[in-house]
Amino acid sequence: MKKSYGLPGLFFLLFWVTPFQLQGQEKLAVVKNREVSFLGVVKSRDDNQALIGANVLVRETKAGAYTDLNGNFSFQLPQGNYTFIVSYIGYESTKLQLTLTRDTTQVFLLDPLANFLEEIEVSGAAQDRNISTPNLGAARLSSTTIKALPSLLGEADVLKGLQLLPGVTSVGEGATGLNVRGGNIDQNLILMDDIPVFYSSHLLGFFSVFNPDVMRDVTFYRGGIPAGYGGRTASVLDIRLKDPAADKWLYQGGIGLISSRMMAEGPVVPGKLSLLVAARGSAPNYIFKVLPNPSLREIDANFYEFTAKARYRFSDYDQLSLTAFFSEDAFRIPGDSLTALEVNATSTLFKWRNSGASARWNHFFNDALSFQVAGAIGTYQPGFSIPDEAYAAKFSSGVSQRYVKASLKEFNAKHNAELGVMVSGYRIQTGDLQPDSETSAINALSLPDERSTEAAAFINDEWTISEKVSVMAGLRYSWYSYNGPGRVFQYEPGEPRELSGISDTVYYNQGERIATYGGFEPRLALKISTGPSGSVKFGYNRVIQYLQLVSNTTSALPTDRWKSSDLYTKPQIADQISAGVFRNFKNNEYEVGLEGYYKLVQNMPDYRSGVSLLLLEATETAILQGKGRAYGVELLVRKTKGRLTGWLSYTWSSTQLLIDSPYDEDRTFSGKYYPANFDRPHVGNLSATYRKNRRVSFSANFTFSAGRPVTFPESKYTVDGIFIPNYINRNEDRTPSYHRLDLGMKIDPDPRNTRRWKSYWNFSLYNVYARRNPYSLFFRTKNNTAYRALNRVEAYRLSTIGTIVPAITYEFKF
Amino acid sequence: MKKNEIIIALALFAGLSSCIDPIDTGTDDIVPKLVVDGQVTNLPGPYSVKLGQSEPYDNASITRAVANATVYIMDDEGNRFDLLEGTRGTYRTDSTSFQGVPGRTYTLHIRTLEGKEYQSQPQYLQAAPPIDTIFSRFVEEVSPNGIARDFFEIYLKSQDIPGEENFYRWKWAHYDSLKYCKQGFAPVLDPENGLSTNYRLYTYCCEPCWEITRCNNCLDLGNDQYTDGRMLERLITKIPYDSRDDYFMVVEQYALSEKGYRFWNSVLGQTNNTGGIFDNPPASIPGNISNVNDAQEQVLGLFLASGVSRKSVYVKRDYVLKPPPDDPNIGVTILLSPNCLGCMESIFRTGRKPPGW
Repeated sequence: MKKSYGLPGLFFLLFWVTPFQLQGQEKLAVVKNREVSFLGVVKSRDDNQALIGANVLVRETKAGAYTDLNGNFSFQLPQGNYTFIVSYIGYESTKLQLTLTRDTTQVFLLDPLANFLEEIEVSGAAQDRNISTPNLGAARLSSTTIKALPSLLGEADVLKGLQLLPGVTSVGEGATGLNVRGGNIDQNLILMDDIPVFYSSHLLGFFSVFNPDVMRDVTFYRGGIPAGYGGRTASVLDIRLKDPAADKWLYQGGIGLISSRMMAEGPVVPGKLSLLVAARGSAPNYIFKVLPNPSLREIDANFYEFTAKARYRFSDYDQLSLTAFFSEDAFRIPGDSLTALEVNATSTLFKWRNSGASARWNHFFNDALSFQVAGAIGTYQPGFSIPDEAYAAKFSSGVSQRYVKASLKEFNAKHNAELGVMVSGYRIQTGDLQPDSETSAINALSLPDERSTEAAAFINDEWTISEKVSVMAGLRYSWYSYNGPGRVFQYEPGEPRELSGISDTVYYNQGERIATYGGFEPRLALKISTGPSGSVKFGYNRVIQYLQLVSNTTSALPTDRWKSSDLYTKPQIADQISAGVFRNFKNNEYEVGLEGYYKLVQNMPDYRSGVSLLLLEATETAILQGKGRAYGVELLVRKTKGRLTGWLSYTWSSTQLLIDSPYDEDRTFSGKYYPANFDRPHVGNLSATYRKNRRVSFSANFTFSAGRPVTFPESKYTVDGIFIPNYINRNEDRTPSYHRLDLGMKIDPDPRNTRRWKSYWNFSLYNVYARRNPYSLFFRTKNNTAYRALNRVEAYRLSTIGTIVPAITYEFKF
Repeated sequence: MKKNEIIIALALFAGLSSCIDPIDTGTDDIVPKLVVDGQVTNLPGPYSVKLGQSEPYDNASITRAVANATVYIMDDEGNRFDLLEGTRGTYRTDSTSFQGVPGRTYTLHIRTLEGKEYQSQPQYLQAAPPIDTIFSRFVEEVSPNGIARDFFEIYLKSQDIPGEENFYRWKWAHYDSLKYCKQGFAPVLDPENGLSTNYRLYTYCCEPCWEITRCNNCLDLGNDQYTDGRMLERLITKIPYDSRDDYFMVVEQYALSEKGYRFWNSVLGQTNNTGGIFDNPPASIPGNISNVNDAQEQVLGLFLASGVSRKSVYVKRDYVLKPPPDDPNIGVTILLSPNCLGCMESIFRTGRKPPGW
C-alpha cells in the first residue's frame, strides 16, 4: 500500500485520493510481477502549462490519480501493457497505450476544448467526484464552461454562470451579487487567488469584475464549507487564476460590444519566473450620446481592470505566486437620487475601485506533507462627487481586509487533512465628505474608521474510512474583536434607539477592545456509498460572519457601506444541515443529484424606514436584527459526455425573515416571518451545448423562476394633501414568473489551422422571444392634480431587459 | 423619477429598452384605520386637524371623514384649546384665543363618538430660522423639438443654526391677481354662411381675486447633517419665463422635528418608488398618534408642531435681455362678458390678500 507513495523523487498528490486508487492498489498487491515506476506529466498543448488536478486512470488496474501542482503523477505498476486515460476539465481526454518494462516517464499533452468545442462541464475534476467525495453543495466551473454559455451582450460572466446552478439566484437582471440558499449578497466569500473581493460588479450589476480570460476555474461551496474558509455564512466562491505559461509567450484577446480585452503570458526567466498580465476595458459612453433625452445623454459609464500574476519556482518543492488586481468603474447620472445627500445636484459621478494583491508560498516537505502561507489584501473604495458650485462635495469610503493564513496539509490514501491559522485585520472607512469648492456649503464630515480583528484556527480532515464511507470533519474556532479608538453611544433604556435618545457616550482608546465575539464553527459531511455508482451524503455546518453590508435598497448600491459587528450589531451565525442522494448512470455519462437543506441565521439585518445610512455614525439607530430561515430541495441532472452535454437543474426553496423587537414600531410586520426580497420558490435552468462538428457548436440556456416577492399597499390615506400608501404585510405578493431563452453559437472558421494565430466568433441572442420579464411591480399615485378623486392609483410592472439582445464577439490567440 | 431614468438608461446602455407596463391589481376589502392630519405653527391660526379613515388603495373616492369627535390641544402649561368641528371631518382652533408659540410643547387629544381615546406624542414647537433671501437665476433651455423653454430657478438662502440638528421642509406658492374669473367659449354665428365659430369668452371678477399656483404634492425636505451652521442655498422651484412682469411668491420654511422629518422622508422614499433596484423596501410609516388604551391599534398620520418662517418676494423677470415668448393669445379674438363673477374660494383661488402682496 505504501509503496506507491514512498518512491523518492516522486511527487506527492496534492488533492484527494479517490476510492479508485485504493481499489487499484489492492489488486496490484496480488500480482507478483516486478514493479516499475511510471512518472507522467500532464500539460496543455495550447500553452504547455502544467494541468493541476487532472484525472489519470489506468484502465487495466482501475487505478486512478490526480496530477500535482506541477502536473505530475506517478504509479507503481507491474510490468505489462497499460492504457492510460487522462482527462481534465475543459480539455479533450487523451488515451495512450504503453508497454511498461522499466521505469518510464511520459508527457501527456491535452488539447483545450476551446479548439474543438467538444463539451462543457460544470463541475468536478473526477468523473465521479459527485458521488465519491463527501462534499455537499460544491461545484466547480471552468473558464471554458463559462465562456461557452450564451451571455448578455457577449460578456462571459462567472456570476451569471453560477446562477444556472441550483440554489443560486439574484434579485433580478442588473442587480448586484448572488443570493445563495437564502443568503444576502454579503454572505458570499469571494476570493480571487486569495484576494478578498467585496464588490464584484461592473455597471451597477450587469457584469462581474472577473475577466474570463485569466480565470482558470471557480470552486463554489454553498454547503459543506471546509473549515479553512470562514467569515461569510452562505457560500464560498474561490476563483483561481491560471498560472502563467512557463515556456513561451502567448497572447490572447477579444473584442466585444461592451468590453475588449487583452492578455499576455510567458516566461521571464525560463524555468523559474513566469508572468501573466491582462487588461479589460470598456468605453460605451457613445451609446448614451445618441439618446434624445438630455438627462440620459448625461449618463456616462465606463470601467477597466488589470490583472497580473507572477509565479516563481524555487525548486520542485518550493514555489511562490503573486497576484495583483485593480479595477475601476465610473458612472455619472443626472441628479443625486442615489446619494441621499439631499442637496439638489445636477449630476453625480460615482466611482468604485477594487484593488488587491496576494502572495502564496507553497513548500512541500515530501509527497504527503506540505505547508503553505498566503497573505492577501483586498480593498474596495466607493465614492461619489457632486460638481455643483453651491454644494460641490466629494464622498469617499472604503473597506479593506488584510490577512495571513498558514496551513499544513497532510495527504495520503486515507486522509486529506489541513491544519491552520488565520489572522485578519479589517478596516472600514465608513465615510468622508469634503467640500469640493471654495463656496460650497457642505461641511467637511468624516466618520471614524472602524477597525476590527478576526483570528481563526481550524482543522479539517477528509477521511476515507472505507471504500463505502468517507467523512469530512472540520472545526474552526473564530474570535473577533472590535477595536478602539472609538465611541459608543448609550441610549435611554426601555425606548427604541433613536438619535434623540442618546444619553451618554463612552470613549475607547487605541488598543482597547470595544466588543469581542467568538465561537466554534463545526463543519461535517458524511458520504456513504450505496453501490458502485451511487451515494448518500449528510452535512452540517456553522459559519459566523462578523462583517456585513448594510443596505436598505432592493439591490445593493456600489456606495453601500460595510459594517463591523459592534456592541449593538451582533455577528450573524448560520447553521445549515443538508442531505443528498447522488447517482451516476451509463459509466458516469449521466449524473443525478438531489439535495435538501435547512438553514437558520441569527442576527439577519433589516432597516428602519426613512433613515439614511449614509454618513450615519450611530448605525444602531437604523439597523434592526432578526432571524432568517431558509430551506429547499435542489435537483441537478447532468450529461457529461458526447456531442450533446449540459444540465438541468430545479430548485424549490423558501427564504424568510423575522424582525422582532420589544418596541412596536421596530417590529417589521407585527413580528411575523415574511419572505425575503430574493425568495423565489421555483427556479429551473436548462443549459445545453451541442457540438455539430469541429467548426461549429451551439449552446442554449433556458431559465425559469417563480416571481419575486413584492409588497402591495393595503390602503392609502392623505396627510397634508399627499397620498401615502400603507403597507401591512411585506412581500406577500409576487411578480409574475420569469422565463428566458438564450442561444449562442461559436464558430472556429478554420479548425484545422495549427498555426499560431487562431480566431473564433461568438454569436449570442439573449432573451430570444423578447419577453418582458417583470423585475418588479410598483405603485404610483397620480399626484398631479389637486382634485383627490382624479389621483388614481396605478400599478406598473418594470422590466429591465424587455427585448431580444443580440451580440457578437471576436476572440483571438497567438 | 430620476431613479427610473437610471434603470432605463442602464437598459438602453445595454442597447435595449426597459419597459414599464401598467398592470391590473385587485385590492381586497380593508379594515379602515383612523387617519390624523393636523398641524400647529407659530403663524396665526386657525389650525386644522382632519380626521378620516384609510381607504382601499385603488379607490378613487374621497377620504371618509370622522365626524362628531372631541378634539383638543393641550400645551405644556396645562392650557387646553378646543377645536370646533367644521365640515368633512375638519376641526379648527379658535384663531382669537390660540396661536402656537416657539418653545412650547403641544399634544393633540381625540375622543371619537365611540369613546375611543387617542393622543399624540408631545410635539415641541421649534422656531424656524428666518429666510434670508430669495433670488433667481435665468436658465435657457431648448426642448428636443426646438422650442425655447426658458425658465428661472428660484433659490432660497437661509442661515442654519449651528450646533444643533435641524430638519426642514419648504413650501412655496405663487399668487397672481386675476382680472378674469372665468374663461370659456362662446359660439358666434356668422350670418354670411350660417356657421358658428367658438370665440373665447372672458368674465371679469367683481372683487379682488388671486390665482394660486403651488406644487400641491411636493415634498421638499432637507436636513443640516452635512451643512450644519452654514448658509443654506436651496433650489425651491422653477418658474416659467412667460412675461417680464414680476412674479410674486410666498415661500415658507418649516422647522420639523426629527420624527416629523423621518415621517415625510419615508413618504418621499415610498411614493417615489419606481420598481427599480434602488427602491426602499415598502413599510408602514409610523406616525405619532396612538390609542391611549390599545397600543396595538395602528393609527395613521401625524400631528406636528413646527415653526414656520415666511418670505414674500416679487421675483424680477425684466433683467433678461431676450424677450419672453409671444403670448399665445395675441391675435385671438376675445369676447368680454358683460357680467362679473365673484372669487370662488378654493385651493386655486383666494379673495384674501396674500401676505406681503
